[in-house]
Amino acid sequence: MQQRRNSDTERILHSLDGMERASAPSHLFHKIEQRLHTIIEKGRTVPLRTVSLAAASLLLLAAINILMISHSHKAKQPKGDAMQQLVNYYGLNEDAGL
Amino acid sequence: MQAEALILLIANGDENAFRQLYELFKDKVYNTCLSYLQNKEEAEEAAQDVFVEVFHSAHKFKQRSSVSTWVYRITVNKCLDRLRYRSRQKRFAFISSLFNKTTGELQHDAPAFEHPGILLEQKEHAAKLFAAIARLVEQQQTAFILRQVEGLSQKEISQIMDLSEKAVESLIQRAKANLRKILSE
Repeated sequence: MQQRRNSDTERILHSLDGMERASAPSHLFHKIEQRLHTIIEKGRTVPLRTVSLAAASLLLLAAINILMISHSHKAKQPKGDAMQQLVNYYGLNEDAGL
Repeated sequence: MQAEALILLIANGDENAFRQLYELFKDKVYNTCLSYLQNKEEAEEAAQDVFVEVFHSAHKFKQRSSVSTWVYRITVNKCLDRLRYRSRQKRFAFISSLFNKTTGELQHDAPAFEHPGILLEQKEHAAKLFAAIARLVEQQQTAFILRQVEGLSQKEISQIMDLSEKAVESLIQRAKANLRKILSE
């Protein structure tokens, strides 16, 4: 019984002997060409979503830059006023009569 | 024209060279995909993946190996990717797809695979063998398919799998031992 089982197993194990290679279907190359052309077309056109994201990013960057410049400009002015106040308080003007 | 020369032309976008290379390798690629995936439609899809990859990666081919080794390597990788994806799908869907929604019956596995190149008198045995091959671990499956189905030498298989010839021999022996175990269950 065991011997018969073993010989069945061996027969199955050798069932690929003499097999022929399967042939690729005739339409396969056409499908490959279609895929390649689809990939090339997708590469040429930029999706609207990408363009919108890029535009939004640029606007945000510009807005941040404008805010930063405006903030830095305002920050300088109070410093200038404070300095002038100190100068006036201690009478440190050039023509203070020294 | 030799495959190496064709690859150089394909790297420059030569579509005629690509067609010639396709003709050289189409059956090898398709047959390998069929043996892994055991489904004609999936094998066609995988074969397309392979040749698209060949076209796009031709400029990266450094001639450190033969073109045949390179193409087989891409084929093996694409097939294993598809098998892993199939495994993941099965894992996530096993609860919901376990029962047929209308009859409540258990769904059965896919029917036995019949390779078109098998001799008529061997078809039944070959179907059992392919079912057993599908249960091998990846490396054993690859070594066995490349040896028994594609008829490649151990040297060629070692170059494709980037292993020593001894390691390939060991893999094939272990694959056969495991197949015997599975077949006698």
